[in-house]
Amino acid sequence: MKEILLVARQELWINLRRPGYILMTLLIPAMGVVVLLIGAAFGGEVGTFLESQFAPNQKGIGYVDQSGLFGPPLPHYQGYFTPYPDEASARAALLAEQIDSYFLLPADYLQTGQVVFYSTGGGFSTFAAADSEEIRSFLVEQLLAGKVDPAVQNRVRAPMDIRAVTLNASGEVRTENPFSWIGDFVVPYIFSILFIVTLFTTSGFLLQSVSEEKEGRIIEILLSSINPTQLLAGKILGLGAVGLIQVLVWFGAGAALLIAAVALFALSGVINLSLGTVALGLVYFILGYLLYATLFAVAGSMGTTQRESQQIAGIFSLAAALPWMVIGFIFTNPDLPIAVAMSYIPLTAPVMMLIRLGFGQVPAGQIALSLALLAVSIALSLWAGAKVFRTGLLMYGKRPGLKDLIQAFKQA
Amino acid sequence: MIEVENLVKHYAHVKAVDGVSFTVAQGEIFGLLGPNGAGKTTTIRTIMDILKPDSGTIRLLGQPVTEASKARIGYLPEERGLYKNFQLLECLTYLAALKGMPRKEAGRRASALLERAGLEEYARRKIKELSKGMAQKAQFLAAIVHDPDLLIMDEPFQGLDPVNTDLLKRILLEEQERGKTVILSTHDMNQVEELCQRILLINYGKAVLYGPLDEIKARYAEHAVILECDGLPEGLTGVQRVEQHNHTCELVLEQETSPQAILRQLVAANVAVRRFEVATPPLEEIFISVVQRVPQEEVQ
Repeated sequence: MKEILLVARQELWINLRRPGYILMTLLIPAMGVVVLLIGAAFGGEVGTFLESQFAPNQKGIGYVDQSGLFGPPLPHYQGYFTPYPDEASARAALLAEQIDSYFLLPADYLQTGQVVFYSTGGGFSTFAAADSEEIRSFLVEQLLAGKVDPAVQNRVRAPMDIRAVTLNASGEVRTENPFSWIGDFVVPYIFSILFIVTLFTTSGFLLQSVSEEKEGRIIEILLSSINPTQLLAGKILGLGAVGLIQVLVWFGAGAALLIAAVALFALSGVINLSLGTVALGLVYFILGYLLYATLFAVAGSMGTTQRESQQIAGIFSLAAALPWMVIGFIFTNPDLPIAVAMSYIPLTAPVMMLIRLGFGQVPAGQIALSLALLAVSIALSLWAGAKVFRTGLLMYGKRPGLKDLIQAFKQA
Repeated sequence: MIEVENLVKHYAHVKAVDGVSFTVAQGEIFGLLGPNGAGKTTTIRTIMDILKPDSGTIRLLGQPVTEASKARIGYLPEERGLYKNFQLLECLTYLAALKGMPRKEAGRRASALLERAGLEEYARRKIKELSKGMAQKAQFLAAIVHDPDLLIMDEPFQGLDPVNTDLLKRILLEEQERGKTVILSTHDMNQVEELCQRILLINYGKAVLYGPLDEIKARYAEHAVILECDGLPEGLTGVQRVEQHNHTCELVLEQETSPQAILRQLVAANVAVRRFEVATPPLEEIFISVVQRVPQEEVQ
């Protein structure tokens, strides 16, 4: 035990001094501070500013009405929508950059609904402009002007203005807050990403530290003093502490920033992150770390160089990346069967559960089963890992083959 | 100090060590010799409990090797390396602490050794900033920093200049004077002749020569004298052939001729003799002849 602590202490000390680690640990809170300061400085203007940045049209849109249904633009559209008598003049205006784009309403528009949209940008900007709300509104208003009641006309233009009400388990309406989505979604989401980032940087450190010792040939001296299991345990413990410190710094900074944000913007109910979710996140973080740390350490012991080890470890990283590939579907349904399945597979469970916990409630039964499976696989990988670790460490210049590994299992 | 009995260790296909037995007495410098791939490193690794033997016993001071007794061994492996990003003093202290030495004492002893080896200015430097020779010395110190009773040194002087080789040799001999035991594995037979009292030569995993160095050399002594003089007189009797070297010549004698008889003839011929020596073969020759002979015996 004394030896394990010695190794752990050394790993902790060495890795806390890494410039990359210090930078990463401080950079994330610093970015939060910058975002907060920008928010404080510009206040409500931020939204307007962003909107203007993304608005596709600046100079206005032309149109050629061959159907004769639309007439001249209504007063509030004048100056932005410009009618042209024929396509040639509209095209000339577009090429002369008097307008950003124009659209052609064919003679049979009423029957087909077809509109031909012309612009010089192409690609995504064309798509965004052609789909824009303002052209839609323009068409509806021009078409219905004077024919129907303005109120009806407004509803045709914007048939629904959604106010979502979420009920809790007992059927009560959850208190609404215009910014509650920050607490419900953004904050847990950011934290789950940070958890995952730390999980993999720390496991990466472990791989690096093992391959450094192997590549640097120091391993033989170490093994003449302590046994491989002690070495493995010490490293996992020490680097686990390194990761935990990073997470705690981020959590502390995050909490401080949120409190500052609440004070600055007079928001309420933003911090919706339950302590239970955070604690569960921490459990998944620790278990996920244990599993990946063991696998990465074994990968480190097997490769002859750090690069080779990283290739071996890449297989495991790929498994960890799988949950991100289905994240788009989890947005709409956190209980998607594939998401649930990935919550049970030990290699994907930590990442998947951290994501799902960020999105909302996960049934307790699923959590229990996934934790149990994870714990069993950690025990298995530690047991097998220690044996492969021992064999891999002493093989320089050659990766242990299947035969070597089988022999390792027989002996140890 | 250490008794190895009937040690056998297989790898997947190869028998790396095949029934090797030897003992090392306390206070001696013991040479563990053999060509590349003979099984020296495997033998050492099994002693260090890094590898488990297939069969055979290893006893340290009459006891099987345990985690605790391993702390009494200092090991300089053939594969060199220290933590590149550690400071020199920090690295030595850590390695001594891993061997169970209290940190404070480890730090004190590491400092003292750095001074002894002339590295005290580099104590706070990172190891990757050291020159190759300095790193090699540091590696040597790492093996003795925890004040072990048994030192196992695999090619300790490799790549060192004569001054530093001499320095480390003196440190090694000082350790011997303090009652420490040394197992020295090297390919440099001159160093073996200079330092070792007894040797074990292994080849293809088997012990082929084992015993006190003097006895082994006497057993392989040729019937010859080595001579350094200005020109050999004509008509020397009792000489089978003459082998001319750079400054010396070796006279291989006929069976019934004694070296004394040759000396008498030289004096009678009034030759100015600068050196006259009864030839024992250098260990290197014994090594080569034994190692080359063994495969044929294996075939029979």
